[in-house]
Amino acid sequence: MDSHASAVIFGLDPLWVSSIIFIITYAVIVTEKINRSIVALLGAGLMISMGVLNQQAAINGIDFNTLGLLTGMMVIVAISRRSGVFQFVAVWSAKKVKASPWGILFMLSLVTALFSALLDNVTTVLLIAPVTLLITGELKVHPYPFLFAEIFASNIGGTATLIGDPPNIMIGSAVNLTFNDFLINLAPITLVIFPVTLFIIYLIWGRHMHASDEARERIMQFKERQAITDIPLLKKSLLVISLVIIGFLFAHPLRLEPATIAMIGAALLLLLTSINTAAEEQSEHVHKSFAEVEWVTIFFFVGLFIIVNGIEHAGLLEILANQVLSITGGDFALTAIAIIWVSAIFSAIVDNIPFVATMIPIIKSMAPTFGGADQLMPLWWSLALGACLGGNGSLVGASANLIVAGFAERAGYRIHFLKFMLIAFPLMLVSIVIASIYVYFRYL
Amino acid sequence: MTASTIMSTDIVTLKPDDTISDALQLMCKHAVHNLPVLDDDGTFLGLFSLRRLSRELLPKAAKLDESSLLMHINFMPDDTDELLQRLSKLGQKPVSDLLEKTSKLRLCKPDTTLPELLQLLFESPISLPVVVLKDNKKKLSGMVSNWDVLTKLTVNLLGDKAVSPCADTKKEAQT
Repeated sequence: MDSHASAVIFGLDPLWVSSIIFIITYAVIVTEKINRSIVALLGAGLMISMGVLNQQAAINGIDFNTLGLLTGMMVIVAISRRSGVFQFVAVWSAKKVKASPWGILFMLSLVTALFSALLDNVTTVLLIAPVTLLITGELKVHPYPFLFAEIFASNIGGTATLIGDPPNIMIGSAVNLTFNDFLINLAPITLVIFPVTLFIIYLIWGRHMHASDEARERIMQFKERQAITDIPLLKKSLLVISLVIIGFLFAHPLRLEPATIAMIGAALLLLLTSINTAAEEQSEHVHKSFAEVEWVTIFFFVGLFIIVNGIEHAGLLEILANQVLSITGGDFALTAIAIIWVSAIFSAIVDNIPFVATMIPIIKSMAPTFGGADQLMPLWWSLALGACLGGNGSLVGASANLIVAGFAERAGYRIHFLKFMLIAFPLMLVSIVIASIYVYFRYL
Repeated sequence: MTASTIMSTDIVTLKPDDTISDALQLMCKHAVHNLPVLDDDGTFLGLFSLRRLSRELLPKAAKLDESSLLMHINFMPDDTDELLQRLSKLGQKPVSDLLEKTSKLRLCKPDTTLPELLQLLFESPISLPVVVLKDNKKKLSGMVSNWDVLTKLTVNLLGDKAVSPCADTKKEAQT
């Protein structure tokens, strides 16, 4: 069954070889001197060519469910956004609060959180940030509090569902958790953390926000209906997105993986937007839609999965797991709380995805200690909460943060790393405290 | 046939400190869309284009991505006050602030052959000419635009100058 038997070259110890590849790869990724996908793919290549993994094992390590879910959702969003629906929602909600600055911040944050829960965070901020900058530009208010709030909203919102944030997707896939599992276990606490965070943001900035009546009147003149540039497309998009969400809700009884649902949804939307068009047009449409998938991210995942599989295969992760257990003395509650805090700190400093990818097999191998895989559930929720919420801690904590920072800079409002972290890190810790209390009382 | 055969050489140029409103007046006077900017030695510094100017009139948030349309802003109201504000602020700035990005420019040499020239012209964003620079010192030789292709190339190829499609042109618009 093992195609191409593996044997590390020169008979070297697989543990050492794999650990060295792992450390070097992650170190280079952290320094950001080379694009992370290149590093991940090369690291994966080394794992295979140096014999830590054979070809079959390497392929088995790739979580195609995660990849399929990400790809499917990205295609759906790529097509949906052309209808202008996101600008519509932003402008409509800004007018609903009569263009008051704090009201707009509140509404846009709410919109960001909701979208982040259903779509991935990166896409959400890609859609929200430009229109936010437009609105604040017209309102003549500084965009920083708005962008800050949206960063937090995207990470908090993404925590609430299976599909909201890559860490959740990865954990859900590895542990066979459903959309409903995440809704029942994580959504409730995000509904607490979100208002608390917004309240603190109000105390810091909201109280002092003011815009002239003139500027507010300008915003009220915006014609949000015009933002929808393609009504048929809007209807088709909403239909498919609804079907996909329903699919997620009923995935378990349907015995379907999230990736399958997402890919069917993508194919369906492509179909609906392609019928009655000429072959060449169709080809271009499909081409363009797939081109908007973030392949760089997808291939980063591929490389990452293989690298982690390599060190798991070689036994490094079991060793790490035992280290963690010896530090916490095998105490379940302590381990859970430790996971939340360590995940949060790490996720704030480095991107949460490599961290979660590594933690998953580590936690899995703790099963014997804690009486079986079923008993590990609180640890998974701890990991999810820590990794997702931790992303708020610094500008580099999550990809969505970096996207917002990029837009801010191009608009002439550079967000400074330390200035952001000075408020963001403590605010993130507040959310972790709330999460810890929740985990303690609900599960431990 | 090379670039030097069909390029326009009778070109109005700008200096880097000329103001944008000066440049606009020159453009109106000579009916041109693009003016090259040269320094005191005659070295080519960049191209000042109407295309870039039009884009500058947009609010900042609508210009976040150079290459793609991040969002349609058709929901914005129709008033021109803000546009006028932006235009008058721009008018005082030097043209060097608003040059076309070098990545958008297509450059060639006087001896560049016709097929390559036509390809460059096609690749060049709409309404931008191919700029002909001689030697490494980047001295401007001329500019080639679609208009030059029509008046000098197509006409030549058609052979019969008596029925030149451009015989009745009132003004020759250099683009």
